Amino acid sequence: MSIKRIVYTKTYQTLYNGIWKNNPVFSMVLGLCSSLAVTNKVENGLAMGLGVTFVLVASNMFISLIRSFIPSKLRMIAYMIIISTFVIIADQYLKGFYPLISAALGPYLALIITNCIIMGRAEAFADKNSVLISIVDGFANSVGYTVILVLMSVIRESMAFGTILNYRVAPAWWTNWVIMAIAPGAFFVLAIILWITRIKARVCQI
Amino acid sequence: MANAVMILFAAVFTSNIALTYLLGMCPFIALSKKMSTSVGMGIAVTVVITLTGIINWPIYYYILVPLKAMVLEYIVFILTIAALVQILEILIDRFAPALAASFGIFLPLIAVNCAVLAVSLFIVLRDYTFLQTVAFSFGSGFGWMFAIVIIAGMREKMELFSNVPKGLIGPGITLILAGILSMAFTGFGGMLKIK
Amino acid sequence: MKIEAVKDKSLFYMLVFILVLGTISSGVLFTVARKMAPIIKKQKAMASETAILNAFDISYNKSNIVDIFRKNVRSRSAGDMTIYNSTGGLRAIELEGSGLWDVIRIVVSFNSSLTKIHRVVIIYQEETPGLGGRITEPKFLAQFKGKDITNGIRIVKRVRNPVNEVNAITGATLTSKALEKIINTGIKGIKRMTNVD
Repeated sequence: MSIKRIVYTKTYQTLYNGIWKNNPVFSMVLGLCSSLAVTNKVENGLAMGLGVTFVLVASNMFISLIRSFIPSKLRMIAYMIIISTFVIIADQYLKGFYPLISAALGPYLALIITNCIIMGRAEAFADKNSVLISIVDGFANSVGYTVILVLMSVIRESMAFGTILNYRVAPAWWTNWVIMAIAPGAFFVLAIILWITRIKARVCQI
Repeated sequence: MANAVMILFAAVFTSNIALTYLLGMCPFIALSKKMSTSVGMGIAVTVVITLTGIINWPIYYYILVPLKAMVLEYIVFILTIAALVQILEILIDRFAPALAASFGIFLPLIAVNCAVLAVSLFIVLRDYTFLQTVAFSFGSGFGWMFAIVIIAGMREKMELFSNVPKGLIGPGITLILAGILSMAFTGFGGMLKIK
Repeated sequence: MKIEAVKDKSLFYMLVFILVLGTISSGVLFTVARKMAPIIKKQKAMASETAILNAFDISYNKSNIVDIFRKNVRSRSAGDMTIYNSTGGLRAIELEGSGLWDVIRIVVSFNSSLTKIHRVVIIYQEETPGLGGRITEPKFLAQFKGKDITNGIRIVKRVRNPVNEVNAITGATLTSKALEKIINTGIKGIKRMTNVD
């Protein structure tokens, strides 16, 4: 296939939509709770992004696999059970092997269950598409989400603590902007990111 | 641990579930455009959080713990929340159809409002007694409503007077308002005195 | 396909579906929980030991925590309190008490003559992030070093007597007071224990 034709394949379109055009955070404005709450340090934002990636890809795959068996009236409940199961698996894994990150994320890891991105993709995509492309869609949306999260945490951690991934990056004269570590900082940083990306991606206002 | 009254006040002011813990953000940003929607949503959220807190506490301590099934905590909680919202929806449809119409699709969405699940999770995490659970659930719901109503008031005024830059219209400017309000709320810290 | 016709109409099918899905899900989770339970328990024990090593300024790697702990720390229990003694002469106790939201678990180490605090290490807290949660910050905890414990320590808004007072976290009065209470209870406890023998 020539390079030009690749642009029209479903895989490319799915990736493009998930990561940029319909980016779950700045375009669809979903998954806000976690974007704001766990981005105070890069390790937390990264862990959350990876957690969402695991759950989103796994649940998209599983839901797509059994989509012809799910009674339409029980769709939401089925999604909840499936998504919750994968979240609990991720939660147990973190508690056992990375307890510090599990403690830092606190209840926010469990809140992936209510992360509108995952439910949204299940309903909009996985329920209607085959397994392989559903995996791609899950992966694409996760990447879009994780990139924004890491971007936010890099900004917040470097301003609030002077570090990135606990390595000192700020110059000696930098006074920590503690406000970046708590709620208001999260709001402001996300607002600015939304501002820039929405202008660049030419997203219309909601 | 703090007594129930202190927990209630802290949940509304000093540790507001929306402005300090950053929970329930999706509807917070999306629905705060109109005051009437915000008030309605706020009341609905308060009712749901209070009821689910009250119901999930005994479910955890009298069903899951004796059966050593604590690993199912998240699933059981989210299912009771979904069930409760479904029941509420049916009741509102039956007794107040006009209210149901104004909520539209937002009532069922309360089931996936992270604030609701988070309150149930916190109750277990912090080992609350039943009375503390009631205080915390109601306080959290009310605190969320309190915050969204203030934002809605500001946004309605901004509709009339402000010239918002294009990229910020909608969620962008709401986030900035929320940030400023969140800073204001940190001023409540120290309001409570331990006896 | 037969399933298409059945699934949307039959109540029986819906019940079977939920039952099967629920059983698979519970089965998977119970298995995962059983496998992870011992690992998680070990992590919790290591959290205590890591905190105690930190309180004694003993360095360690992720892999040899248990060995280093066994080599450098002796413990002695009496009643419900355990005193840890380092080979360097420092002493420490693990404490737990109510915070604003949930319990706060800490380790406090003292010099061998039990006159001053050496270090305070936070093991667990669930206080308000950005406010009470800041008690884990190194700058706050560093204040405790060398504080005199003859009359207990105080965490106050404005330090007037630096001998036994430290600065509270701004806006986190309740958490600061809770922490003060926990540390002072511990000081009384360890004094009582060491005077007895």
